[in-house]
Amino acid sequence: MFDIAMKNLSTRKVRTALCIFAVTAGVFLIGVTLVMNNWMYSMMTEELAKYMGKLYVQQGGSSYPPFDSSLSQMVADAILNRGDLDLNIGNSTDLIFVRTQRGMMPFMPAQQMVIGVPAGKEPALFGTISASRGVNHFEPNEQGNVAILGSEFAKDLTISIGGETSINGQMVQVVGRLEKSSMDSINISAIIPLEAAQRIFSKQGQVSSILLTPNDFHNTSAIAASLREDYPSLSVVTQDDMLKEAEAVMQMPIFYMSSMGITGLIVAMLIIMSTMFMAISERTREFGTLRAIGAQRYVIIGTVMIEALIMALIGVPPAIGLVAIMSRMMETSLPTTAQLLQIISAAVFAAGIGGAYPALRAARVEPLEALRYE
Amino acid sequence: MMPFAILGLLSRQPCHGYDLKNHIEQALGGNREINFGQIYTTLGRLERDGLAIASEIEDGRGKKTYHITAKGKEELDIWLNQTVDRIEPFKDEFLIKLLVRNLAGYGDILKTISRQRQSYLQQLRDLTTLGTQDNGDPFISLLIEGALLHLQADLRWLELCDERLENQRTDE
Amino acid sequence: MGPIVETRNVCKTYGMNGIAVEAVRGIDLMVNSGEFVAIVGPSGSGKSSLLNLLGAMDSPSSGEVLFDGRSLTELNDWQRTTLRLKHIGFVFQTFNLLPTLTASENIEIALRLASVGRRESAARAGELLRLVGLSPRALHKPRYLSGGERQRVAIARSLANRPQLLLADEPTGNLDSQTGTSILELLRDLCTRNGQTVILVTHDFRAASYADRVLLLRDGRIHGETSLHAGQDSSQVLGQLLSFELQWGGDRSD
Repeated sequence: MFDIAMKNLSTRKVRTALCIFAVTAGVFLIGVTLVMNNWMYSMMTEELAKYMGKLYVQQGGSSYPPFDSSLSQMVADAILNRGDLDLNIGNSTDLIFVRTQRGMMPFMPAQQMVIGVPAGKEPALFGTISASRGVNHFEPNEQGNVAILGSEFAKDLTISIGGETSINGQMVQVVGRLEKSSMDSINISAIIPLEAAQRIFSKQGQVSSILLTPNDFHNTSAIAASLREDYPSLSVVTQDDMLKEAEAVMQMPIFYMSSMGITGLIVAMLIIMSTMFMAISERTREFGTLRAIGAQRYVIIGTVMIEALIMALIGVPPAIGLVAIMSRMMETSLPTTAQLLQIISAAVFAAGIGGAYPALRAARVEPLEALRYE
Repeated sequence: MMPFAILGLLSRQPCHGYDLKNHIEQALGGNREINFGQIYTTLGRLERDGLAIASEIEDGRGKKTYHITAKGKEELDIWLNQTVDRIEPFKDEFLIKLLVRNLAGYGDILKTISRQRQSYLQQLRDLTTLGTQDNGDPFISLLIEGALLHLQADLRWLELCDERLENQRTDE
Repeated sequence: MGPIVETRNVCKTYGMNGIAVEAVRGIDLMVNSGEFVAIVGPSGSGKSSLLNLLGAMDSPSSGEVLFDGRSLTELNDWQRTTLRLKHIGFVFQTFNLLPTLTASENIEIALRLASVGRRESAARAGELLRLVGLSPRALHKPRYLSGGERQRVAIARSLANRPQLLLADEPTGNLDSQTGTSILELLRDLCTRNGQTVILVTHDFRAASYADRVLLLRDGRIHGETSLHAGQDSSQVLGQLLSFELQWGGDRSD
């Protein structure tokens, strides 16, 4: 059976090439889906790693980032001063988040925002980021409108240190510019002092959220539980919560891409089915002859299915190669072994279904066909 | 055939009776012995009809040489250029037999056909066996092939007789 | 030893669009081992249908077909296929060689289907190609072979599993008369020398004359049978032929 299959494939080159191409394309799309998946997950994990152990306390019902959250500063300070929570005061602070521009696509989290942070508490926000230009912190008790620009934001404007830019209609002096960091997915336009933020955005007496860092991150869940109990009207967001949120957000893009991948696979399958079908029709006399000289039905089915399978398997390595190239270009990791197996089984599946119907039709050819004279 | 074969040979060059015998035997692939009597009888007839003439040239063997006459050449040409008819009246003996049986109401027509078929088939077999022995002579092969083709045609015709006469019988 | 194949009042009716076509109407025939039987009939006489039934490719509508004493009607598709594989050889009018395989491979495939090993199949294929005189063409694909050569390969293939019966359907239909003759002689030889049982189905009387027994088929029925004996002494036959030509009637005045 294998021999006949190989002979048939090598003789009818165009048809074979077409099917292999279809499989490569279909498998490639699936591969792309998987790689993109990996990419999003790794981005997300990297992103969220920063939040390990941290908590954000926000207005009830809001989620991170807390653009729509509003807390009274007095409540915020009260919580910050609770000694019983064993907080790392240096890294705990109240913050203002203001969204200046929505993300471009519904499922992409990138958006531009301005964060207001009390002078001296900058490290709480993102650990130690250095400024590529100028300073990376505000003067203590800074009263003026100063800003440290985000790395991506600053690229778009031609502003130099000491220059001015406007935020929400008010002029602000640029004192620094951050270097590129993983924070860039949530694109920060600028960081300004909390008091300035309250002024510029008319949020006197309010903050958006409180960032709490426990001394021992094992306590995070305990602290979260305790806070939820004490302040039932507020939201407490931990890394886990953010993870769930991010996953929820990612469902849509994952869905779209999976659809794309699956469609690619279905198309490959249909192409295999129709080309094989055409081939079967040409070969009725052959199948009739085989049946007449004593080939059982399963032999016929086997030959056809093997042809489909071989074509599918030949189509896999080029697809994987292309996926690998794409991974390199996007600087993401290659698919895992488990995912490779998924890819291969997808190809096999496509071949199996695509080849099954033609195979069954071929097996139904009567030996009588060999006698027909045309 | 014999008279014209002799005339044909004489038209090339004058021959002795003996030469004529040899040439004709050769033409038949050496498969048949012609006897002198037959040759001389035919020569006699040709002379009588003025188509050939014997000359008494003594060549040491005392044998007569025969020549073709002008009239003989003419007759030969006419015969050679004449086409052969296939539409001949009532020549097939077998059909006559069937007809007679039908007229006389005598005997089983279908059985007759069956026996004739057997005969034809056997003849076919005999000829195909003959055909396997390669003669090399193109005229002999053509002869055999011709006979085979006629037999095939005859057999098909027999089938037709069988079919039609059978139906006629059932119609009655 | 009983007959290789036998039919008892076998009938085959095809129904198409509500119209029944009786292709075979009650045929009794019997073919013994070592016989060369020809079934002659014009197109439409039911030849192909009868061949179908004899070759276990189809089941009769009524009546029985027996192969080596066993009734075929009880057999299911699997069993009939096995029967064809191991006990019946087929030669077709259209040769029906697989175009993607070489001459040798076309023969090997019949063996491989019967679970014969690769090496053994190749050896036996070589043997059979020698038998039909085609050893030098073993590695050629059908499209590089002449009609006669293709048919020889087909015959070799049909003999692969040493079948009890060889069924030939108009084997010379697509060949010129000279090539056709050589094929018929090959079949004749296989019967005479190897004792192969052959059933030849044809519309050509000349082909039929190679057989020992000729059955005449018309409208789905056998209406006649003739036995033939081997050709008589050929010199006599030739003499007979030639004597017709030498009619002494000769006188053109007749």
